[in-house]
Amino acid sequence: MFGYVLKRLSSSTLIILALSAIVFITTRTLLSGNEATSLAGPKASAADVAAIAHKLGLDQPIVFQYLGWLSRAVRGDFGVSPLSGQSNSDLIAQQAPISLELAVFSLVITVAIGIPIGVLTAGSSGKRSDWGTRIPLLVAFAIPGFVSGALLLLVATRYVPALYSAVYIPFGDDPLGNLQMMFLPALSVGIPTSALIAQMTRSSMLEVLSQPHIATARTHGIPEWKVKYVYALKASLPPILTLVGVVFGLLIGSLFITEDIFSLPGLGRGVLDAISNRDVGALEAQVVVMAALFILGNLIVDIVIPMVDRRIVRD
Amino acid sequence: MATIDITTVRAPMRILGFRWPFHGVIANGVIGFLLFFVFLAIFGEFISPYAPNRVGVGPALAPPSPQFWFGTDGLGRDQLSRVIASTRPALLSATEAVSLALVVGLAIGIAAGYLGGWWDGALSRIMDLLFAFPEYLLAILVVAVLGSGLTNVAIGVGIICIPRFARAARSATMEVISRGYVEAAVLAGRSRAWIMWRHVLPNIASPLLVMTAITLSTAEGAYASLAFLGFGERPPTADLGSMISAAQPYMTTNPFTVLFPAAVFVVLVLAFNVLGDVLRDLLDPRARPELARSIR
Repeated sequence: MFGYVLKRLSSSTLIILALSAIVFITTRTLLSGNEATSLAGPKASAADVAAIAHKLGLDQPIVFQYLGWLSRAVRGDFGVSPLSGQSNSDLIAQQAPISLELAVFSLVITVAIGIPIGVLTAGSSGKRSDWGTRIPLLVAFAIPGFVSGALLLLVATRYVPALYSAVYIPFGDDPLGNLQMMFLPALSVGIPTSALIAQMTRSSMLEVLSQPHIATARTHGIPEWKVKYVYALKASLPPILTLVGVVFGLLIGSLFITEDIFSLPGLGRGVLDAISNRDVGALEAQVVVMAALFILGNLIVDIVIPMVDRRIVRD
Repeated sequence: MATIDITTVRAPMRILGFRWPFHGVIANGVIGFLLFFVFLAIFGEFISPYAPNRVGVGPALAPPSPQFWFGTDGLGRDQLSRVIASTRPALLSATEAVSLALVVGLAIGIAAGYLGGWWDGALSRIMDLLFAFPEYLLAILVVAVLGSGLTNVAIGVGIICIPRFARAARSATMEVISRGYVEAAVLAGRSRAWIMWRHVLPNIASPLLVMTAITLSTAEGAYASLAFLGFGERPPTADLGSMISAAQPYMTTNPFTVLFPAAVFVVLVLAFNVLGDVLRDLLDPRARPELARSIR
């Protein structure tokens, strides 16, 4: 088990390293425009831009730039944005908690809705090809974040104003108010993903329920609820957990939309702003942190799964 | 569990000599529905009641009426015409993205699975790296580099869909190459490229067909999301994502401006997902144990 964790940990670190190199080099070389062109403005001559780029150190060889960036980044220093004058590390420290809270909150909603629905629909019909339960789940899965978000926002502003806040309330200032305002954004992305989890729970449960050990448990006179919700559910967890890792990625990816609709100042909005301002330094920091969050989430799932299903470690 | 479902075994219908493989209302309904959308995407301009981009064909934000079935938007454009026009970018972007992902993903997956060794290691690491990006983040970065527009967004979306095809193709290939006919082809002196093309590809087609249908829905959603964020077709071109984002300020005064494009989008994504499920029922025997047993 320890060796397995160590292996996962080192491969995740390697992936983050490789990813940071790719992101840094592509954004510095392929993206049209950078901090220098933004600072110089649209009317500046090429010489002006070059002078600013020289002052910012953007004219150095890309590999040197990356190594310098990396050596500071591992110490938590992402530099200062020449456009806003703000430290990129401070920016991340403001944005990342919002995005992480949103992703974790919606993951909790996803699991809290998805697994019970999956278990219930698996119990109600023994047939796999039951379109009566499949269609509603497929419909829920087809609703994209920007539609559910817009609709929930409409409902909230009209009927439940307590759930809507025009400004972001930090968790430290008012924990309850923060959770209240984060509920709708989290729910808006949690609806489609919970349908995904429900589908997986359903099919995994149906598979397990047809196994001999379930029949044995039944012949031993164990109550049906216990057979279903304790024995069968536990045995169907591994594929569900694997999917939870995938869902976490979907949730991180949907931050762009959710933060845009609900005007939350998180990483998703930050990336879009940095792209349109060509604040490349901030963009790199945000992209790497966002990807690292996703990789970290999957790492946690990878470590939890073998605790549930011992067979995995042996492979 | 052991009951055999006799009703699903029926004499096959034939169309132009080909056996029509789909049974049931859902399967045939969803295929008819998708064909209808393809028809709209190709011929929509001939049947739409108004020019989709003409401003002021009616009052702004009119509710649905016999004259304007879906109402009008904030600039007095006919929503029905705009929704019809938006089916083209919707289907085109999804098709472009999935074609890219399918071709590149298949090539990578088959090469990794068949050649093995060093090739497998290198290609699988690259796919791990692509998987390590949260989906939309990579697409947004690609679009930031290439610029906005339908094709560029489709390329970005296609890239994020490559690894899933590559992984599926790789594992299916590794299963196929252990079978006798591949060994026989090797002994017959066929080249590796020939074996991959003639023996591996046809035999891994069915799981990949299911994945193609489901990825169409993913790509559709990703394109609309990026269009919602303003990376898609340039306005005034009708596009589901940008129509919904443009209509958001009017949602409290006229919710129909959001509801109709949203409903069409949801139904389209749903249709691709149902198609995936229908194909899986048809192609994957494990997904319907009763019928599989009755055929054997």
